[in-house]
Amino acid sequence: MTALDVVAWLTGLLFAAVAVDGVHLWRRHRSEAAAWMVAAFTALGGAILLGRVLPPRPAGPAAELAREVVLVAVLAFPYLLYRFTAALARRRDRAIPVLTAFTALLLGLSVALSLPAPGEAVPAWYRPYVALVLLYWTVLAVVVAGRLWHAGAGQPTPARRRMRTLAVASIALNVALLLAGSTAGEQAPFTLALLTQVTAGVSGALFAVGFSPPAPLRALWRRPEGSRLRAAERGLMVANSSSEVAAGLLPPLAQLLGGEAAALYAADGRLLGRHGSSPVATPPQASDGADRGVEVWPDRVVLRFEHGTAVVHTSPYTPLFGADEVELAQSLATLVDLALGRVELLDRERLGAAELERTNAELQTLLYGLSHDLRNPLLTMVGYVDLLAQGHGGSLDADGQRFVERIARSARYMDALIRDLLELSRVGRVHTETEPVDLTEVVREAADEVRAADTRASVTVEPLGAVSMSPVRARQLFANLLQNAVRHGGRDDIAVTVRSERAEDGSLCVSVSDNGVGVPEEYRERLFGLFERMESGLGAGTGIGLAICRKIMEQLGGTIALAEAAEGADVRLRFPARSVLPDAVLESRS
Amino acid sequence: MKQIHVLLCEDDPDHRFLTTRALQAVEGVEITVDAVGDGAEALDYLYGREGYAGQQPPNLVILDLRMPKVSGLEVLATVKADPDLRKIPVLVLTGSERPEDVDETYRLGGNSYVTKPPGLEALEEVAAYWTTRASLPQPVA
Repeated sequence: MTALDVVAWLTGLLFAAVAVDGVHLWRRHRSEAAAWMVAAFTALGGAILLGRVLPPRPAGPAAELAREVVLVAVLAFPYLLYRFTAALARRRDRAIPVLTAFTALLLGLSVALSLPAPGEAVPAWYRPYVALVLLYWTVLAVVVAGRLWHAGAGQPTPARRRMRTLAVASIALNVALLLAGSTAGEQAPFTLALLTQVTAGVSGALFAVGFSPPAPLRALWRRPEGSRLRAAERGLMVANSSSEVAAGLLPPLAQLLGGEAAALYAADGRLLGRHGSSPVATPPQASDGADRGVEVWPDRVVLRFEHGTAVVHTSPYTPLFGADEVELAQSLATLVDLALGRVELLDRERLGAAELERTNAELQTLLYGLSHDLRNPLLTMVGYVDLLAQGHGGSLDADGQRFVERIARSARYMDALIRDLLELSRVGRVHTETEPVDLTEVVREAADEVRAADTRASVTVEPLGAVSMSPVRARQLFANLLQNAVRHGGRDDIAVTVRSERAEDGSLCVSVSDNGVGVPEEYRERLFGLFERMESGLGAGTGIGLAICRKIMEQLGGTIALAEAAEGADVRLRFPARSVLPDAVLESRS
Repeated sequence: MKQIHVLLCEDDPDHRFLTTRALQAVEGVEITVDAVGDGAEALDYLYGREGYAGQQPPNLVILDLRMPKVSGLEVLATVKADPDLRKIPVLVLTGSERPEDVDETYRLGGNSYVTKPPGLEALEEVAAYWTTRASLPQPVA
């Protein structure tokens, strides 16, 4: 067997391999294009291989028939290849009926004419016939190559490279044929024959590569899409809403699959996002009831996952040339599923937070209304009681006056209770702006007020520091604490000291201590509860003040507690490190 | 003796009584108090409409916010938008502590916002301030 023979066998096998590949494709997609491809390469591959085994002429009638078959198959190849590209194009090709008729004519002619064997005398019609065949083949090959090349332009890199490879293969085969036909019946010189055979072989290899490229080549071609894909993946991981997911997924997905439009749907069929200008049909029902995976249809690719569906309108080339891309799309689908799941959770959280906000606002309105309506009659009571005491005190005996006074105190107490309860609920519910607060200043102001009301009390305020909190709450906090000390200290000349120190972890500890009667250990924690008081009776305070203080500290992330003290009470407040401001902040403000 | 004419807009009869008493208890000034029970009547009074034809506008308006027919804030808005009535000081005296009410009152041009204090003494203090300490304009005839 000569080198020529080897190349010839290889070429035939390559074409046959392409035909087999085509059969696989056809079984997967049942597309018309795949069918034409199988036909074309079966014909060509089969013809070349058969031609190798045919005995030289003259031979028996069976061999002659085989020869006719080979001829028909070879001549039919460009037509079949043309039908392959036509099947991929969107529009109906009007040239097909004409072409079919011409091809049939040519084939019929070829069969009818008895072609001379190599070495025989060449009849007069032979050269024109060969020229006609070559022209026919060349025109079709060029058209096919042009279509494949042009169509590749809009495709992602792998598909584009493959289609253009096929275009080149088509031209190469044509060149081989032209070389073979140039000798037209005469014995070709060895070099020419070799060149012809090699070109045909190259064409076969190119066809094989175009239809099923080897993995390393595919990986190489996939690189530009790969990096775009990774960028899309990153975008998906930080998406916070379903529209962000759609915006991050659809453009790269469409590009990956060579599609013009794409859409993302939620699991319940809601449209989450769209890309591209052409309308995207709603996703078709799963063909076999499957709810996961990739479906490749002739005009679109449907990705189904747990939280939704993505539909990409693709070109007709995608099913044939985009197998890798479809796999990549599948991996993207997994990520999209995760992203959509996360977005769903976030949405539910947001809804929950909005719901909470609304409930809070409603509650606050209710409480204001309640407070107003409860205080109204109280004010009336106190007003009349005062009138009684003022103007009619004379007609009441000592007991009567005392009774009237108790009524007044009771009413005032109830009023204070309502106001304090309202305040407690506001501390928890109403958000107030934080700003740098100079605690020393706040405490000094509160001290001034206390001293004005109780002239014998003394309050010493050492430099305390600054924190970031609501100034209103700061005033409330220390007004409450100082008033508590003065009211419940048990002595008129109570001395209160307020000092602070920085802890190792950066938090600020403020201590409000006095020289009063102090708080027994068993009450130290209880006092911060609601309505807890050391004394009962109407003059003893509402039992809400310390609860308010605790709420304020809790909101800051800090703590408040009564510490053990040798003499008097010692309230320790801890402001967390993150709310403490450096003293420099205060200086910059003054 | 200085004479001051006050319009009190308050729907609760007891509060009307108590506030009037507090105003009349102020020493050194002669105060006449006209009271109305709802916002519509208040506007009729101020514009001299219906049964108040020919009524002189007051030196001071004391206004509760919760009133039937027309609310206190609506009365305030109307008065402060009117070029003739706008100079009359309006003291909002109400049981509401809502910050939104305080804000809206001042935004509409109210002159003061006092949450009703418990006790006659406190009311008297407020009345005394407005009628003896603060100076009031002479209303347009």
